[in-house]
Amino acid sequence: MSYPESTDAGEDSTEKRAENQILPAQTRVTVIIGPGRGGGKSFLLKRRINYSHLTHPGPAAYTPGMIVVIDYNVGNVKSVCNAFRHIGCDVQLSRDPDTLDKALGLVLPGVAAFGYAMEALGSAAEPVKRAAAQGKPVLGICVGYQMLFERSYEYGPHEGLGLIEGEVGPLPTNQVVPHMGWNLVPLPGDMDLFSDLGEARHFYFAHSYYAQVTDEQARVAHTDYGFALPASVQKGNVYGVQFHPEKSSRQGLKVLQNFYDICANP
Amino acid sequence: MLTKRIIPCLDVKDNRVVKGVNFLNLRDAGDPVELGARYSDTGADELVFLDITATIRSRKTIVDLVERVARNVFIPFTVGGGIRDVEQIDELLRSGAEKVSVNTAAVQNPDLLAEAAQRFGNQCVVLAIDARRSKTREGHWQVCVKAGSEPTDIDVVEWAIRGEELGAGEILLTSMDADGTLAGYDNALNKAVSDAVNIPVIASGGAGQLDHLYDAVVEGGADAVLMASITHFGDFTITQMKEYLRDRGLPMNL
Repeated sequence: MSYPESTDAGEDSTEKRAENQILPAQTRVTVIIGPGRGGGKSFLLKRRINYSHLTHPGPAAYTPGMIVVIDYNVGNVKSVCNAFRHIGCDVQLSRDPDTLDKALGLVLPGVAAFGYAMEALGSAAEPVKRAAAQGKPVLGICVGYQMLFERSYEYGPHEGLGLIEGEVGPLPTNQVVPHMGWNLVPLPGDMDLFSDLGEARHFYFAHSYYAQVTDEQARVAHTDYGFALPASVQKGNVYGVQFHPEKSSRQGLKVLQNFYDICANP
Repeated sequence: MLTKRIIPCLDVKDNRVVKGVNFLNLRDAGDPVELGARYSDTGADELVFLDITATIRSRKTIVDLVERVARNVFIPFTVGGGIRDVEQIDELLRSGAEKVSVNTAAVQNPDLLAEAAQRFGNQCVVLAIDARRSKTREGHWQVCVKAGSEPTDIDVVEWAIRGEELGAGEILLTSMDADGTLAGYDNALNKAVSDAVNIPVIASGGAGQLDHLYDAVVEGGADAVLMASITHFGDFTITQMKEYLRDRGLPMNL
């Protein structure tokens, strides 16, 4: 094997990561972890951690296991974790109800057909509903976003989590379906996921069904696909994105960072 | 409005990117993870990795590759080559691929498309078609399988329509006649297929100049353009391609 090391560790990767940030690297902190096992002598592990991507930098914002990505049998779970870890946000992968209950925020990923995804989520659905009811930030991505609504008609009717009023139905066929690729999303200033992202950004979409949002309490960002297609929703502490932030390059990583910051600073 | 996509394609053999007649020039840039990350950082809209060895022995290697790519690439990527069943698709998707492309296996077992779509959603099922101009029927193309080595009697346009009905969410359409020629895409083929289906069509094979990309979209009706040689060899950067297309009026993610 001749692959380079992954960018999880090492000074070079820290440099490289800094170049990839949307925000200029303003702070670079050397963190001393330890003292560890070393008898009388302090055994210091020196790690350089780049906190420049965090709005509120510093170790206080870096709490292990704070955000849990729900681990169920769907496609993009690992990609979502990879993306959070790439920007230095620690996330835990779990479907254990206790772990989910203790989390400060939950991420519900999802690449699958709706019915399959709901079934795969199974008993982890209740902790998601509890978290939402307790005011903890919950982020649904793609089918995970669609699952926030009341029901879907993908391959027959299926009940959703019912956290936001609305239904998921097929995209109109006067456009190419799936809606696949990068589409421009004008970003409403009052939606917390889009802080510091400017007025409009391209995000990567890949879906054949979409949510018709009927919830009057929900704020909605749209994209143009022959009609105003809901691209993101926020109802209080419940957030959803139809697009894939984990696959939407730097602007997508920034959305995930914003969610992390929301969890870190409720 | 949905933008037109620029998709570099990385043909992978034994952990190296091998596409192109001038492969030797790429000796130091031939690592698929490195190249993928570089494309991801320089504005590519998407990537395609094709495992052109695709033997049983390479199966674990490709899963390993997908995991490594996924840790470094934050744009969507498709993986293809020798995929036979939904379990393999499941493994690749869970390893971090956004989409999986099937070619020979779908011809041999069309239900694979339906099974995969029902389980994973059709947006991650890419039907790859290797098309060759028919020598006997003017204006028709025949589907070739096994990395293009085996022609079939199946008509490309009919197969594309069938693929969509079964559950393919996208068609990766490679012209075997144009591939590697740098003389432009086969836009008659692209148009025939994109007119016949309502799913996105990726034009592949023949890109050599910037206007070829434009023609594939405007004449061929393609939703995305795939290329290897002209970008691996550094003839054009992704940004140059996008700016060119934008300046000619196409919606691009810039």
